[in-house]
Order: sequence, then structure tokens, then C-alpha cells
Amino acid sequence: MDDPALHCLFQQARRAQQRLDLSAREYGFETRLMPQLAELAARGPGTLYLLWRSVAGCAAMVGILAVWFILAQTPQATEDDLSAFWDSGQASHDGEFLN
Amino acid sequence: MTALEIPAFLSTPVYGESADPTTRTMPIPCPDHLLVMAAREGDPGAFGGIVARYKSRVFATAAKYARNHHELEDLAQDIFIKAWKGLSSFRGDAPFEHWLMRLAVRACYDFLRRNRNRREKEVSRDALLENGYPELETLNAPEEAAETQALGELRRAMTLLNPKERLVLTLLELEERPVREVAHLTGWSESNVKVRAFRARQSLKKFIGRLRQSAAPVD
Repeated sequence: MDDPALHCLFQQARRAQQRLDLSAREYGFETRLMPQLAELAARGPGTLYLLWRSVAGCAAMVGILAVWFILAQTPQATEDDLSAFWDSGQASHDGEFLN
Repeated sequence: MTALEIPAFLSTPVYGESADPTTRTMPIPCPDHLLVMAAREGDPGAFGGIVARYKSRVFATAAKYARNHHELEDLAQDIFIKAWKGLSSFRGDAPFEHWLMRLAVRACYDFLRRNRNRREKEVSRDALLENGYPELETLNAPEEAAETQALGELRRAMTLLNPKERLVLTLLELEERPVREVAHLTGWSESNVKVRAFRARQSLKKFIGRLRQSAAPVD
């Protein structure tokens, strides 16, 4: 630090903070904290948390469904075309021609 | 002279030690890991052990950001609740203490951001004594009084800084951590830490000047 006044101020503040005795505040902290943790554990994860955790699964499911839908479309289209081809009588005409 | 024979119970390896005495240079695993493992498995006593072990460090860190004892307690609780919730993300490749302190610094930063608009109007020594830290009342010498006054002045000026500036100055100047460690704790790059610290010092000097001006008696 290039500013001696600021440096001095920080030095004094550090010394004052070192004198800060927080042991009285720390006393019994676990006793106050543990019931809160027990309550949190009993409550379980919140709805928002569960929704957030399910986002990845839902996204994967949507992706799989999308791929399945696209793949399923192509054979169906081919099948439809074939059906139309047979139904139109074009096939029998072509068969006669070949014979 | 015959070599001393090592009794069997002494040559039995301690948990985590190599069975081969010639290669027994591996440190015994830190008990923190055992406590963390037990806490992960739902043992509340194990987490209580972690709290008991680290509460002093967490309180000391939180005291630099909290304005009074109520906030201090809330902040310390917030840190440990976050630690408890995030225990599954502790991989164990670094000491637990580092992980916890990083989490504590983040929680303190969140606390500063949440309270950004609630900047205190005055954190004088008297205000510190009345609302916050009666422990400072034990002044044995004039130097101690001057130091407490300096702390009050610094706190008052630092509340006017933005959360990032306040965080970086607290870590660098009040906690005297090296730049590399501050970068690790905050997740910023080292150059970013230096730039922010430079700007923060400039702002702090400006605010201290203003506060001294406003506190000076008008003729």
C-alpha cells in the first residue's frame, strides 16, 4: 500500500479487531444451530429445489422424445407412400406392364 | 548392541497409515474427512463436531462484515447451514477448512449485497459499543482507544464501498491474506483482485476524507 495514512489506519484497525473477544457469542452456538438443522432436515428439500433438480431429467426426456418422434416420422411417411401407391392401382398397372 | 524391537501394538498401522513401516510417511487422514463423511451419512453429532471446531474462525470472519451481534449470529448460522446443505459437494481433494472458508467468504459477500441499501449512518465507537461489540470496551491504554476509534472510522467508511470493494479490502488489509489466496477465496483472477483493491483504496481514501470533513467542528 502506498498511502501511509491508510496503512496506519488499517494497522490500528487490525489491532483493535484482534482484541475482539467473541467467545461469549460463540458459547452455545452449536446448541442454537443444531435444532435449526434438524428442522431443515425434517422439512426436506423444498419444491423449488426439487423442480430445479428435475430440470436436467425433463430436458433429457424432451430430447429423447424429440429424437424418437423424428425417427418415427420417416418410416411412417414411407409406409404411407407405399400404401398410397398400392391403393392407387398404379402397382397392378406396373405389374401388368412388366409381365 | 542389538536393535530395539518394536512392540507389536506400536507397529500396527493406524487407520490410513501404510502397513510398511519404511513407507510410513503418509499423513494420517485429517479427522475432518471422517467427520464430513459421518455428517454426510446423517450423523448430526458429526456436524456438531465440525461446528465446534470451526466456529471461532467463522465468527472471526463474519465479525468483519456484520454490524452487530444479531447480524453476526445470523451470518454465522447462514454459513454453517450452507455448509451443511453443501456437504455433498465437498470432494475432499482440498482441506475441509479451505472449502469452508471459501463458502464463508461467499456467504459474507452475499450478506453485503443483501444489505447494500441498508448502509449504516454511523458506526462510531459508541455505536459499536452500544449495538455491536461490548468486548471492545475494555480499553487499557490510550493506544487501544485510538485503535478502536480507527476501527470505527474504517468500518464507517467501508460501509460506503460497494460489496466487492469492501470484500477485497477486508480480505487483503484486515485479514492480511495474500493476493493469491484472495483470488482463490473469491473466484476472481489475481489481476482482478489487484485492480479492485486499487480502486477500493482510492474510494476509501475519498470516503474517509469526506467523513473527517463532516465530523470536523464548524467554526
